[in-house]
Amino acid sequence: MDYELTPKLLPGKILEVTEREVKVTLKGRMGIIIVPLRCVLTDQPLHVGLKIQVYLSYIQVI
Amino acid sequence: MSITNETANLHQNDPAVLCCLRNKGTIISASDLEDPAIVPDLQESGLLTIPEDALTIGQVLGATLKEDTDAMTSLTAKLLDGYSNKAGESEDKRLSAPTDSGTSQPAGVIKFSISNVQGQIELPDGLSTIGLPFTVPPVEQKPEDKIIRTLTQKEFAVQKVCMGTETSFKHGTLTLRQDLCEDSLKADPLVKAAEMDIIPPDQRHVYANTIMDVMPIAAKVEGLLGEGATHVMSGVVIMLTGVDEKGVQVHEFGSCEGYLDENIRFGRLGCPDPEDIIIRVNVTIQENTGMERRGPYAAHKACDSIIQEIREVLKRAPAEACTKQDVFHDWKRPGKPRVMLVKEIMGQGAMHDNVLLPAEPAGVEGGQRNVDLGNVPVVLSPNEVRDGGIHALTCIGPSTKEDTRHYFREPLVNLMAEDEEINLVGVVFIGSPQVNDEKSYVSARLGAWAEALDVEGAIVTTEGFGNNHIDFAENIDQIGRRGIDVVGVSYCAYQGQLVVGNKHMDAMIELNKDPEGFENEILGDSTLCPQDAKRALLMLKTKMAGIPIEPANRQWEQAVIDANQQMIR
Repeated sequence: MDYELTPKLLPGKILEVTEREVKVTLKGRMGIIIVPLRCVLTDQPLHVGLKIQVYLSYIQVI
Repeated sequence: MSITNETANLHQNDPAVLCCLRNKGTIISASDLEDPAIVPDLQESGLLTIPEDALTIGQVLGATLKEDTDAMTSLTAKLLDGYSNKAGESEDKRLSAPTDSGTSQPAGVIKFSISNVQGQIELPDGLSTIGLPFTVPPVEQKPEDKIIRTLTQKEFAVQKVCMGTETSFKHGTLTLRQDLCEDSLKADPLVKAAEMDIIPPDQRHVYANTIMDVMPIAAKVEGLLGEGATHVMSGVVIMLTGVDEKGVQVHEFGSCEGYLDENIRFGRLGCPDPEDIIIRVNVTIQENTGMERRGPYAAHKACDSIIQEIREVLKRAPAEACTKQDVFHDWKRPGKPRVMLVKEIMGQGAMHDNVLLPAEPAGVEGGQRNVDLGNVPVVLSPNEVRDGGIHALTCIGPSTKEDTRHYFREPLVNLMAEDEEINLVGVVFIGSPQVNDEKSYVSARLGAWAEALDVEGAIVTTEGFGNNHIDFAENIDQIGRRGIDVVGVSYCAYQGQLVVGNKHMDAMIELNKDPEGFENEILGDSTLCPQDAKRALLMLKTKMAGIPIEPANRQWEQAVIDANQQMIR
């Protein structure tokens, strides 16, 4: 099936920060993402509760 | 990507853009032009600019290129010989009035031009009409609408709910047996604890675990679901909330734990009304079962066993205590356009499931789950839906979730069933499976139903967004490709934009109520409301009448919805 996967800018919030990774929840209960620290762009130290935004589309299984 | 002649005809007034490199001397045809549907995307991405003097597709067809021209070039007068100057010709044609009709009549025919005639010609019975200078119209016998099923819902107002030693319902006071919750654990071994409390309308700032469902208290006193008599308690609803032994919310991701006054859009058809007393049943299920089919189902079973005891006392409520009576009919309306309503329900497994046709209104026992039925379309009569034929186990995002009370008060079912201009032949519930092959399988069966029911129009609705929009699109396609007019109804807005589409999705109703177009985690906020139902039905009637529907904007715009809403009286 031919999907139109268009990334959308979604807001979210940091749930957890460790020495290795950041866990964020996406607005609208769209899921929780864990990414390594190097994937986060910021000018300030990370802490729980900071608002984030990320371009995301649906996942297509190939 | 070049286009067909058919597409070119549809887009005569859109700017003409070359799809590929073309050499000097080329006579422009549809196959040389870019698809107008993607031109706005190309403009947005900066690949293309349309100058002010750009020619339209209607103008360039048949013209000759004066020089070699690159792909993605907007065609202008400088580049072409022999283009047409007439812009918007096709529209002008449509507007011209047929003023000269009749001039080709043979000579000798007298023509009358009568501007105002009133009254009627009365013919006595038995008069021979032979030789009269006009024909007598045959007496039209309009087929009459027939009632095929009647459901009487008797409402019993509840003014007070309290706990006591035994369950009873007297003089507007509902008393609940204190150890009812403990007994409910017997319903399923996965249920580890259950408690119940009463939340009055003026004390809504209460923290709750995720709201799994909102249910009416209704009991069958005569006949089967959809006919006979049903007793319903008004002014009170059951709210099921749940968590697992580890403290994880049941069906996390679709959960909406928090303060009730912040997390519920009171007054939506699937939500408690502002003045309703809420009986909260909070269930704790075995750890790690919150996202499996058995976990949430166990919670619903336990809650249903509690409601069943209330149903038993409601059944015995004296007739004089009835405060309101609604009579619903299933109609057969011969001679009216046959239409069907398709409601897509979740069926991806785990906590995405529904119970169809339980023994008691909005109950659990005696019903079949759509996942077990393979998600194939199941037809219910409008009265079966209005009598609690669907018990929702669904956990999709809170704001688009159609819960059990929503189906009990479904606005589109009510509107279409009572509309005298259409013949609603049935309400089809079709599940949304996880895998694409299964989606295609059940959608094809829906198409077969539409054909077998011989409908002329259909409305397809869905809760949720994302994966189930694939079924939504395919369901619409299966109906549309059979030449049946179809209207789609869904939440899309910003966050839930459609990922697939087809040419039959040209009449769509947006359900979003969030100012920013998000799944805003407020229970029932972006579900189908009466005004959405009216827009959907008017859209279907418009389409069936052959009135063209303007193409949708590329992106969600509230202004379009507001403008359409103005048309509803």
